Amino acid sequence: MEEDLKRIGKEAKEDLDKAKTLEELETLRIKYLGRKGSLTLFIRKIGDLPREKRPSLGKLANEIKKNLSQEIEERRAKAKERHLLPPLDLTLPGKRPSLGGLHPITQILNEVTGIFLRLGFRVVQGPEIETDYYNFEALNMPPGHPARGMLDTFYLSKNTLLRSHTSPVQIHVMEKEKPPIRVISPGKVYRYEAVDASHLPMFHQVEGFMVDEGISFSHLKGILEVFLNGLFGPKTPVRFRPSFFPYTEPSAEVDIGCLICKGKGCSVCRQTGWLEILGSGMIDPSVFKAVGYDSEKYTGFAFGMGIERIAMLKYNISDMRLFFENDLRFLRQF
Amino acid sequence: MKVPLSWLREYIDIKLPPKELAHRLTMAGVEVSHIQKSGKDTILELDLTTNRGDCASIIGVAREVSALTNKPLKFPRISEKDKRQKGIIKVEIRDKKGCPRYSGRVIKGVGVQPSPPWLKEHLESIGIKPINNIVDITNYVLFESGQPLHAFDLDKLVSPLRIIVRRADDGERITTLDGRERSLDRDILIIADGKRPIALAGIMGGEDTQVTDKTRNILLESAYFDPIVVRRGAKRVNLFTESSYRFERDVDPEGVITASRRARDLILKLAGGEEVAFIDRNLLPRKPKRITLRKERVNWVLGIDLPWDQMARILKRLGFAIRGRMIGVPSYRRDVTREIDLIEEIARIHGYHRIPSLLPEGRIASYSQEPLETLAPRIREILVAGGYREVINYGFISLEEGERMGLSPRQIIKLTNPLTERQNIMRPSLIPGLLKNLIHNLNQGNPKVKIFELGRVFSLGKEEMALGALLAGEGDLYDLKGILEALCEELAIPSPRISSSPLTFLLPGRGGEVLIANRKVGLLGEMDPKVLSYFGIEVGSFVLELNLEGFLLGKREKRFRELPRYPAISRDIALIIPEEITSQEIVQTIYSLGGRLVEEVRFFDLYRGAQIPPGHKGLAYSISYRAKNRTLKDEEIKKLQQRISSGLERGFGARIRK
Repeated sequence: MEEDLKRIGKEAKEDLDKAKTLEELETLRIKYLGRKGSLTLFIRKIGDLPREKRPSLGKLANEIKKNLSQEIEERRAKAKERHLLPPLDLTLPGKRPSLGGLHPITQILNEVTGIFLRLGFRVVQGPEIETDYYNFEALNMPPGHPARGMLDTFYLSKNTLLRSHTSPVQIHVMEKEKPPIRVISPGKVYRYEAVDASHLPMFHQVEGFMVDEGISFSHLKGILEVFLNGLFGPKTPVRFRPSFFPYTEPSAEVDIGCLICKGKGCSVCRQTGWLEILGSGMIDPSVFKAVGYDSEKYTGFAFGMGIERIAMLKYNISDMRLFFENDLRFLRQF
Repeated sequence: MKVPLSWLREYIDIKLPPKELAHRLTMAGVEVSHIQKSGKDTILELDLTTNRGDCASIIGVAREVSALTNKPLKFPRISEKDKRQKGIIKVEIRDKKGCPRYSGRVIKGVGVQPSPPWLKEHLESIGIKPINNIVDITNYVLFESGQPLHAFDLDKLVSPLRIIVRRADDGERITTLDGRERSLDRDILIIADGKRPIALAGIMGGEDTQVTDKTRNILLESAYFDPIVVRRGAKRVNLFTESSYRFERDVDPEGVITASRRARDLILKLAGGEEVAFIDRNLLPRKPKRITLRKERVNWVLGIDLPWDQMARILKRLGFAIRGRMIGVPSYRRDVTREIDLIEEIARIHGYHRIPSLLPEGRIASYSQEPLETLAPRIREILVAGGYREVINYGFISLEEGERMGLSPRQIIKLTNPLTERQNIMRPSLIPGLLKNLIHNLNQGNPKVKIFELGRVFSLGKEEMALGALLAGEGDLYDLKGILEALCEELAIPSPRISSSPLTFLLPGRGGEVLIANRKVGLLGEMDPKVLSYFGIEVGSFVLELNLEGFLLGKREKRFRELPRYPAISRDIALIIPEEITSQEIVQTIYSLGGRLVEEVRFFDLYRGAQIPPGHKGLAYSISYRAKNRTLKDEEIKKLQQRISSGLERGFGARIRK
């Protein structure tokens, strides 16, 4: 018996010399001193021995146990001293989780709608399949209107079509609600256009409009300046240029200072120093008439922008087709 | 439209440098898209909006410059005498809407020859090829005034001379000046003589009545054609000309005769001859349009405080007549019909940059956001967190792809004018798009594809938001099922069940409908290799598609559950059972045998191999036991574990592995 105990003690001593790290010390502790550890089991067995053998063996066992515990404790303290941990090569790469990600168009849409949500607008979605009435007629484009030519359209039947802009959402919302209205509406639009680096048969627009008593052109300017400074940076130059849309009057094309050349003139801005970014204007009285609003009482403004174009400018992408090819090497860059 | 500065200067003095002039025009809504040097001259390239037909001429641009710089216009001198001789020309207008004004002028004894250098140079400066003096003069006047003209060889017309303006008969034919024979129909307005069409009204003249070197006598046409009629006709014959461009944008009805006189003067001067007859059939109202303008309204809409005399000054410079609050609209401003149109005129000449920028103060609408609007971002987040990358695809696919997805032709929404056969129906599912993304990526050397899309799918009368996900090149069907379960858990939607009902494009027994609380909300499974090979894909692919509205119907409110105070004890159980028994049966049985102390049964292993007899599989679960109010004792667990084991043995012929 005594031999057994001594052997355990000796083994423990040898193991102890090999144990360096905290983990190794813990394994060793469990091996000898744990609930099922060899020393623990031995001590338990002492109780079964004849009475006369117990004290001497018990004393020895306890001594070994005490020494071992003490030794482990000391070594633990030592192992905690930092300089004992082996150094790591920190130039080795980290182990990366495989992340997913949002499409760049979704990211820009989120950014755009986020700014307007902070200005008290809400998001409303409209259908992608529209009728001629919502896409054209209610927006002051009766049959034969020349502006229809700028919106080459996919048809599903004589009267149903794929919306060529997000402006029909104006009609849907105003038919159902009374002012005050502040709405932003992102979504897909379709144009009958041959595919090339800057034209696709489908792209994304964000429409926005605000209607109430006393809304004026100067509010249009104020809101859109806040928006563009939010999207492109606080010092981005913004200018409003007269233009024409059948559903707004007066209408304004909104330009920002060229992001590429900072206004000096380059090929992207066709040497003008400006980039067209938004179409906007005061909602035309004929649109209010179509939805049954009193245009003497209510005024409002509306605007729309192409999201692919904004993404292309922001990320310096020259070919629009990349957006819907969904090549992972492209998507991973955003 | 090209505007040479030298030509423009013939009608107005310009002191501004070209760049400054271009900027002023652009900022007044007449966009100069290019400034181009051409020898000593500078050419401005204008990008006109469709409402400003009045600017589609050199004089039109001069008028705009005059308003912007407050300088007077210099018009060419034009003789106002016409040879109004009855009986020589008969004009019969059968479509009075399509042609409310038609004038004809007969000039005899002209000498057709090349134009003098000044005329040639003018035309060449805007990229028009000189032909002969008569044709060149009609072109010159078109660009100068914006009024399209046409000269016929009088001797080629059937006599007695009769001009008929009417719609073409179906199948009638004409060979136009460009040498192309065209078949006509009721949509096209034509000019005819007693026998045949001689011109497409407002678009192009006919070849066999054109002015040639041999022409001696001419009929000079100047008319007002309806914009919509010309636009429809030009679209029908797919022929867009300088003439149709202007009629589509509405020409000045009062300019019809001025232009005809201007051309007459030039013809007599450069080609000789004598005016023999003139006729003007005019059905248009003569009274100029008048609009009431309220100063307060202008300031209200624009958010400015402009005095009346400043408004009046702007309008006057643009050629409007001011009589008190009544504003007379010049005949060439066809786009101005309402007070709001006058407000725009004031705004653009005053300058948008002079209108202050203000943030609105006022009422904020109370509203609640559509549930899908708030949940869509969360759904994206969960998928992204699961390592999926978002894609966006076109809303249309090909009919063949639709058929491969097992769609019956009745459900298909076809485009009547598709760009290509590859995109001729609206997508009924997101899966074809995802498969195309997969093959693209495989071909580009991206073998691991884990993607999702959130977008509309279409069926007859319906347009719904769907979520699609695809996994290929890594993981298996259970990985995809896992993301579905994670979505349910995160959104507080009851756990999904997958039905075993077969779907045409999924492998039988390896996919089915997704059921939430027994409602079908989508599908999950492994793609049938036959369908995959149609897309050129040879790797196993797993797909998930959910109808979002249906899926979110199951959503409940999240409720906090008290954290347990007493420890759980977990025990593993591994069993061998016949293949046909499903995991769900085992799990349900464990719950019912174990009673309320079983907190969770977690699957952790499925194995087949050496130790498992054929037709069987090994499953392993970890059962976690917990009581709410005390620490469980070892003996209790032992008893429960025993009961579960023997229950499984009896119920399923399971063998419990020790």
